[in-house]
Amino acid sequence: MNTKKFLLLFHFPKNPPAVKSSPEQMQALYGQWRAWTDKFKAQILDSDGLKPGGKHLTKGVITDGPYAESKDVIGSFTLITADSLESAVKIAAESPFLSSANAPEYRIEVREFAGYELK
Amino acid sequence: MTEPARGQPTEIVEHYFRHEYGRLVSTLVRVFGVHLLETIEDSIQDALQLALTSWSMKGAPENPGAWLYRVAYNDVLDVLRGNKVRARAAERATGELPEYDQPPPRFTHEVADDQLRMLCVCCDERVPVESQLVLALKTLCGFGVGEIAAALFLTEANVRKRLERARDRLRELQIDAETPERSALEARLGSVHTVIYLLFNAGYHSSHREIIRRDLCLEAIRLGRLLAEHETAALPSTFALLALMHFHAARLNSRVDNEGRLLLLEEQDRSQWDQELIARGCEWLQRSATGESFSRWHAEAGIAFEHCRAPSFAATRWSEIADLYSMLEELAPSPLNVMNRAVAVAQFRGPEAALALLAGAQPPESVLHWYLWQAVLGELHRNAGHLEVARTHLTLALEGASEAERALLRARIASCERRESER
Repeated sequence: MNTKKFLLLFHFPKNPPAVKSSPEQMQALYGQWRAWTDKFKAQILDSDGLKPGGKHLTKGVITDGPYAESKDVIGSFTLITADSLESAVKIAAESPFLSSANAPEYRIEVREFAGYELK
Repeated sequence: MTEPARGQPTEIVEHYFRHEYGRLVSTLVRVFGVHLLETIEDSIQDALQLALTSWSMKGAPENPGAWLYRVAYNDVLDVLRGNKVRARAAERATGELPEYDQPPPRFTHEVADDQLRMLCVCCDERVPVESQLVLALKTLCGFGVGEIAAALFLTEANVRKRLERARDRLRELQIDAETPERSALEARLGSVHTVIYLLFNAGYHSSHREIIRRDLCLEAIRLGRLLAEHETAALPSTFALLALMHFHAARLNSRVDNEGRLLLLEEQDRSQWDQELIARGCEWLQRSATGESFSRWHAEAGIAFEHCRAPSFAATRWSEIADLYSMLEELAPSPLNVMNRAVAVAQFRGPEAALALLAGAQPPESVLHWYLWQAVLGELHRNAGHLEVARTHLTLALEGASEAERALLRARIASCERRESER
């Protein structure tokens, strides 16, 4: 049973290489993403992108995002259910995100929900 | 944004992104002006990129065209208002901005008008012809620089240079993208037809079997139909051009065998010819027969029609074809027509008659050194039994021929050698 929840975090390079995809290439990639979301639609609970920028708060200081020290930013996320970390990783690996990447900074982080509960 | 019910994303048809790119360029050029072409294209590129990421997750909106139009329109406005630092100095807004906060409405019939207008802009005779073709492929057909380079056998740097030259020229000339008057359009129709046919030929004559080859041909037909469906360009010469392209396209798949070898007309499996395309070509040919005019496209469509209707290579009406090449030569003089006429003449009056015809032609030096000219000379001599002369010409033709053509030429040289040794 898919009782566990996982967050797939899609990390993009902060300064992506300036490669312009052609409309035809973009449509091909769109097709791959649709195939992925279709295949796992029973397990995908939600997906969204995150706007660039934002703010960073540290004690006493608020700075403009993204966090200056990191090479990449979280561009989007997908919330899924899966029976184990392994199967969550499999789902992430099947997404076209990494195969379409043109820089090593592209990565997917898979994190399991702790599922804190008040008993 | 309206979002469709989950699990039922709007279906995005094949080539939608690419075709929508062309439609958006045409509309936004009308709204903002052709001097902003580069900014407009960048905004559309960004809008498509945004569509890719958001539609991938949520499915496409109910009206994807309106979604993209709004996003791209607002992006151009952002650039013009200085909220985005993308505009080149030459393109910075001077004077008034469009007053709408929302993009002006876009109706289907207007989009066709917009594309026709953009086609006329691309074919402006003051833009160098090699840039016209690249500009049309980029802006109207939505091909990427890499794809254009591959299709036209150019480097990407060269494609970029041509695009830049075209955009600079359009800006300098301050061409407005207003619909040309009927008379103006008729005057420009010649170069519009030529660009469409060049586009078709780029697909038709490339020997590589990538899908893009077929796509280029289909794009050319699409643009031709755009003209034919528009009252100002619905003229017999437009119909004849469409007939020609349909007849050629019908034979597209039979031109190469499974190993990628180029097949001669006489070797092609005629049962593979697309009868539906031929039938549609015939309809266009009929429509082209109205009125007095007889254009070069009429002559060329007539030739292609003769090939399509012939049940076999031997049963082809070669004398009709030779006559049509004579007419074509009068309308659009080119050594290529003389050469093709000689090939037709050889079929019904023999190789010696054809060689006499070529001997009488006085092509410029560059044509004499052209590989196809040498290949035809070689083949005619081979058929006439002048084996040694044939070999010389065929060997000269090797230089400049494509890989597929070279294979064919080598086979013929070998056959000359075989027959010489048998003597």
